[in-house]
Amino acid sequence: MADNADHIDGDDNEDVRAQQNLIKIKLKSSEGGIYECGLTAAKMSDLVKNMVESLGTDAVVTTEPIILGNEAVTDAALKKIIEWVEFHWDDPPVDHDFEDEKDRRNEELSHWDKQFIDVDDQALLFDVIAAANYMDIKGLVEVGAKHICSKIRGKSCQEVREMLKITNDFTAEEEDAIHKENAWIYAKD
Amino acid sequence: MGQQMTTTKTSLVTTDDGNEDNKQQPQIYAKDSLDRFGDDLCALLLSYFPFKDRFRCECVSKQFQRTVVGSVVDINIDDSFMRKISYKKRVNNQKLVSIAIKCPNIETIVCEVISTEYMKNMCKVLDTFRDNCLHLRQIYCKLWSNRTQLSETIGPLVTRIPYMSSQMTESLIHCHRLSQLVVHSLSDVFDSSSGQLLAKNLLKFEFNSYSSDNKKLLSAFVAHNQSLKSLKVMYDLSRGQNSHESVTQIYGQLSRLTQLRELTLDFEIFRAENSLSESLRTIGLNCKQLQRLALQLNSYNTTLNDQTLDSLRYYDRLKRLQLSLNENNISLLDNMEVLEPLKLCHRLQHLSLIIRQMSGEFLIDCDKQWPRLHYLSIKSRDFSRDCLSHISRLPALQTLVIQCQRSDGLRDNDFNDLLSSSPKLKVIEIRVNNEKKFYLK
Repeated sequence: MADNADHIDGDDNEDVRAQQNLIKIKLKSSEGGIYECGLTAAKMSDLVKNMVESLGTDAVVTTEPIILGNEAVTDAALKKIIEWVEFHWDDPPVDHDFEDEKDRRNEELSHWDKQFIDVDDQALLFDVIAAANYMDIKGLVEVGAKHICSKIRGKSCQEVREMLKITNDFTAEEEDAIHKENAWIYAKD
Repeated sequence: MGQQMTTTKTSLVTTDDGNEDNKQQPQIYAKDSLDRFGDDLCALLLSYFPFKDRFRCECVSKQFQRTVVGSVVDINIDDSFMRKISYKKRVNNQKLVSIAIKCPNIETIVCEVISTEYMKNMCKVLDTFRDNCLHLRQIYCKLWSNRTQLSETIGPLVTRIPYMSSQMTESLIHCHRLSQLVVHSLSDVFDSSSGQLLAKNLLKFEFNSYSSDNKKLLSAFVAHNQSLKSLKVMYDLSRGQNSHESVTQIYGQLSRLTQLRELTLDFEIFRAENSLSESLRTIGLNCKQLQRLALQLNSYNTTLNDQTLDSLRYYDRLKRLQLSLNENNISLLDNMEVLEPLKLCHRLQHLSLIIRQMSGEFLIDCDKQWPRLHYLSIKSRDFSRDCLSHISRLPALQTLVIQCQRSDGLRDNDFNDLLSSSPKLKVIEIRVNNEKKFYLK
């Protein structure tokens, strides 16, 4: 049964990924906290992946932790991020013949992701999103984006400002002008 | 999960967004304010926003104005959109142009217009977007009313037709880049006067009616669509003159599609016969790239037996299988024998079963038969307790979905135990009588 096609379809690759995730590497937050993370999981971050590839896996495992210097990578944010990649590293790979970008963008978040990202502390939520963006973890940024968009869906401008703590830097006249320009959107459905 | 973290709300310097104006003086933003994000990240986050909400939110802040509308990459044009840009059933052109100009990054347009009154304006609307959105690459458009004739300019942008009615065949002439198409009858993709095939080199195709005089058409279609990767056929095996021979002929033809990766078959079985088994065998032997198979079998007054699915033995490369057995004859499927051949699909990663009943006995060695299974969904009338212990041994299982009417007194404890004893299980979704419940690791 073992023919060449077997190697191409990635079953073996899956085993390698599982093996590699047993290797733990250290990640250091901008606040100085050091946290362990499985190698395959950590490589969901393109930033970490590139570092591991340029330094070599052995060096990363034995030497100093990888420093994530961006201010958004706080201890709390890094812990959340590690929780996310450790849950998702063994997700089945996307097959582009069947799933396309647009469908994925419109897909609802999984139950687990919804619970994960529903963080009461908005400063932490924004840290997680900004840190995920800095670490280049596209899947997690997407989870954050979908969460924010579901929160502000159907809300008025003022409600959106209050919820996301946005400063209104328009003058009343400017705001009025934009409002008028977009009046068509308020027409009856 | 949902853990409460108390972080002191410190302030921080905004991330550099490359905008020179903001560089002069670093501004301090609260950590819990969206203002802290640069335009790039802000645009990325807001790109998941529904189209209409974007225009409502444009006046939230200057950053929103810069990002929320410009980041639109796809747009759904439906009746509600058409109503909003029309006055007395006439499209307000000026309005339309101003919207299109504001959204220069649109790549995909999905037309979901249903009312015929708006249908006639569709092409005008599409033309306006085409003229103003230089990134527009694909249009998905149902073609069912002859009021939407695709022009020479729009046709080449149409890549998917989720449904095309038989009177719209001519529209295909301009759709050179079409990759996905759904029609009722195979004859709908042939020009009625010249007999010329108008849909070539497709990737996905679906049709649900076939008569034996379509034989030549099928042969021509197959010859010019060797690129096909996904095919769905809804087909009535027993109706009319569809003899055993004509059925096996169809599948003989379809098995020439050697690039197929996904196949969905919807069968009605009225009498005991072996066309299904034979057809499956032909396809299994020839379509070596096939990884996803969905079978929906509806049987009336006939018995599915252990021979019915026997040909699954030729599908050992299959990664995803959906099997739905609907029987109107009560006594049949208590007999699990019909499912036995599933155990030969050792590479399955994704298995979805809709059956009358799931017995523990059937699952006894499931961990050896499906070592790579990461998704299992079972919908049946009853679900018995002894199934769970077998399922818990599946070494790669991540997601389990169970839908049933009676769950044999299974409680929260039982599912939480399953989560802790199964090596990789992350999520269990249970629906008993439409009441949904989740269990998470």
